[in-house]
Amino acid sequence: MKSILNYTIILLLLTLVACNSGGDTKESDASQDVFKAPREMGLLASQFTMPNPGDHRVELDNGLVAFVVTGDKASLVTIKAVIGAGYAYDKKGVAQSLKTILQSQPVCDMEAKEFSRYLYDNAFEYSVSQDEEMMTISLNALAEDYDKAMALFARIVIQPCINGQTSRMFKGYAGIPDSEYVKNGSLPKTVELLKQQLYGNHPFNAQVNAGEASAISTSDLKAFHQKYFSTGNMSVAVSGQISADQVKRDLATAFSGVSTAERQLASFDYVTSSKASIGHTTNKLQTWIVIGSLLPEISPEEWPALQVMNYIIGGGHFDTRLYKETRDLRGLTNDDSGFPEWKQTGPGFYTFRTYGRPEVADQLIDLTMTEINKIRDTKVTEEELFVAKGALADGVFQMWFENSHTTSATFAEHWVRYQSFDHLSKYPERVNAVTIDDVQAAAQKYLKPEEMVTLVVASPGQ
Amino acid sequence: MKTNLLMLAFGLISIASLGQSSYDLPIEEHVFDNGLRLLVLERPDDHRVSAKIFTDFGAMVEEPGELGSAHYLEHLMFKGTKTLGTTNWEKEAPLIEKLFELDAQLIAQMNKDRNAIRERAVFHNDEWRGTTPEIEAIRKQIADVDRQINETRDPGAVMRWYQAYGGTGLTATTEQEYMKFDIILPKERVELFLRVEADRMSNTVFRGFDEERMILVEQRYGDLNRLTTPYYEQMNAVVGLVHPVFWPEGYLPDFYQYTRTYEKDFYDRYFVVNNSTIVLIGGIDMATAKPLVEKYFGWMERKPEPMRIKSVEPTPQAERRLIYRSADLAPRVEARFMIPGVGHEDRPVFDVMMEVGKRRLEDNLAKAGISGSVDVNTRVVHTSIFGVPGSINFVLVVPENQVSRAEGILLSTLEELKSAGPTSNELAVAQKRIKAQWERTTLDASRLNFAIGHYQIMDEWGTLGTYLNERAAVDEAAIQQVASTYFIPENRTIGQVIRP
Repeated sequence: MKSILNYTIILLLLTLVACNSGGDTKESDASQDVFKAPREMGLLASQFTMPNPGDHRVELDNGLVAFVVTGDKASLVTIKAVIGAGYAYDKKGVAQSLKTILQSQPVCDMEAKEFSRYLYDNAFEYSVSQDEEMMTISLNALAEDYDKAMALFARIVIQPCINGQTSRMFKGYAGIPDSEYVKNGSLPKTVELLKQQLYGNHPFNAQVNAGEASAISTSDLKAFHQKYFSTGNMSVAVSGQISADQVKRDLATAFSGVSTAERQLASFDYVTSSKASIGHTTNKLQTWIVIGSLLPEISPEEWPALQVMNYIIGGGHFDTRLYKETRDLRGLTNDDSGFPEWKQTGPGFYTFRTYGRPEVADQLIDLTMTEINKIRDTKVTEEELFVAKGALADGVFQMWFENSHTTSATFAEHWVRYQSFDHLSKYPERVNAVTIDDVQAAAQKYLKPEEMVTLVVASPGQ
Repeated sequence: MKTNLLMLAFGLISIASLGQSSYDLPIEEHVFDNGLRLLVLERPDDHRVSAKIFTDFGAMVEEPGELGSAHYLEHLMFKGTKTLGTTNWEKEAPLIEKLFELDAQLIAQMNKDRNAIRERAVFHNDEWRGTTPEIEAIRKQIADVDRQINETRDPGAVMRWYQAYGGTGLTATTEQEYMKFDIILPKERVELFLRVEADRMSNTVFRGFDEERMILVEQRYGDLNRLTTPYYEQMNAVVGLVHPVFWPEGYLPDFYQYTRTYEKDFYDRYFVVNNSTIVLIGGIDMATAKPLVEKYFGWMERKPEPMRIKSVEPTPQAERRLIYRSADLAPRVEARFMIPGVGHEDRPVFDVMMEVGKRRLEDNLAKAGISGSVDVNTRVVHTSIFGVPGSINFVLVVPENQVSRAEGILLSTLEELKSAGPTSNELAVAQKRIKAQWERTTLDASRLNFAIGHYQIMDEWGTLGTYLNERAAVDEAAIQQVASTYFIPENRTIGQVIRP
């Protein structure tokens, strides 16, 4: 008996020693059979189907199209207007001036500080965003304050406070160079510097000098508002814990005064850039690097191949080629990713963005260019393609419909762009149709080293 | 294995809710016999599931000289396992073993060379690190072995499959009290989360150790590029005397001291089933989730309970003051007061106090004709809510010549709250804003998931409902009472940022 006990103790000790020596695993290998390769797990296909926009579409008597999507996950309501005109439209600076008014003092019976306090006291989240082609105004409120929110929102959109005082609020946008921004350094500022460089005199350059800003008149602003905040150029999205019937009635009343107009889709010249290197200085501990060029005209049908290609080389996640080469294997940077920005009416903007300690900046540029050339010159693997397609078709696409608020916004934006949902509904199908050859063709068409500008913001010594 | 599964059949199942109130959340709980906790909040209409796994482990277990090592472990846990991240585990395994042997030699050599490598300078380079030829020789051997391992590495593999199967919102976070890994997946593919996270809990392999060390250096540089970082670190150091909740996420010399052995010890002690909580929110129910969790985690054995945090911050005895001179950071004055942790009855009052205080301070600054901005927060390092004492921070950013005057306004405003409390309108605004904040949290499954998991780590998940209900019931008298208790000179730290 004693010998059996001793034997058992020795066996137990040996087992403990085996478990605790070397290696990195905690349990015996017998338990490891649950860890099949993910592609062998038999994971089911996602059954997600895109909500039908027709189920949520409301057309008012004046022709304004709205999307009403209800949802009860939270006692909130969001009202959003998507306007199909941005800062590239019409006279320089007018759209940005209007944005300033909408942000700061959109209604005439409240000064800017009063408006800010009104938002605060009602727990409203209010925002105005704008790019070259689009503008979005959004108001999120507790569902119990829906009436108040709808009334305020309709006033802002239909009768913004455009007058002699508010039209002077916008002083121009001088851009970044030699400003405090560069002194302090940051990746977004570096991207903006490159954007200004690439677009130059093109309307997609957001810079507005003080003279241009002071030349903006009240009538310019009113004309812009009349033209674009109109039935054919705008859509309204309402979502959240609301009664759809109530919202439809309210929209018909509140937005009956919207001006009537056909869609005013602008068209801007496609321009290219030439290879160049540009430096700016900063007094910070890291160096910021942005490499980029402008994109040619790309149809919505062609866009998925570019997205798949970008996902593989630098789609902003942990498994891209750039991330692995610069971060995972070499410890040079926290991030190195690619950002293609598609535009409907003119040249888009494709950048690769990274940053790191000054001594590794050259290496980061070299590795980024090496990967750009590699994806142009060689084919991606079947596994890389599989991962990218799944990420876009089952990941990114589904998140556009994560809840009632994102769904209504997605519908409104697509309606303003296309007056249809063809591109939206076919997105997963088009992503899944991308081939290995398509990826290489996209790389060769959209990644042109001879047109790329490298912009570095570094310490003066560097 | 068989025994474990049988025992799991008798595991505790309870269906609980967060009290009878407007904050009810239909959370189901199952605690497996091995100690793993599973919380499921089904939202039948959701086509996706927010999945997170929380570990009761964070920066508060670190030792001085190794600050940031908890965060570093999170980075290492992205480097793969023996089933993901390598093309040849059989070849890699002995090399990993060799690395740990060399690591032991390195530690022994550093201990032996302690007098040669100890810090002596007062104004030293932040990147200073002591070394000797013997230490460097061992480091070279480690680098050589790492190079061999790189030949069979498959970087990115752990995350690749999340993405391939529609995963979004992939993040990991380490704060003072917790570490979490999270993903949002199509509801049909939740099993992938369990497969990856069970593997991560049991099979993590530390690859690319020294390369990843430099990523922490990069992140530290990123922090230091913000003008506020060194100021906040100084303030935290003055507010707290001993509690590690006030320590920063690592100074540059710390990053060079991390060893595999130290990190492995953390991993072995804390990443065990009985120290973990899985939270699933979305298109999944408990009946579906439970057997899947059993499959991947059920075989794991309960381990010794990880070491608790022993630190207790002593009662503040005197007003403290920091003068921070900076040519670049916007001038400001700040008052910080230590406040209790979640689970203490006074803690919910401070959420209302933040809103009331901000609004009253804005009004009083405006009345005094001082232009400036007001921020009131409970942030300590990166986190705003703790199960241990933290601080409430009232910050006025004002013109350079108004700093002293603004301090007077700040302190007199707090005295007003002590003597008269807030007005009914101030209280109503505060309650509305807090309610809206919570609704915005519940809209987003991932944010709601975080709230539930975080409360479980700080106290227990049921505390969340109590907290929300108590917060909604805070009245003028409660504000006045709490202000009188905590806003006293002995509990106060004043910070001023002025020009040199």
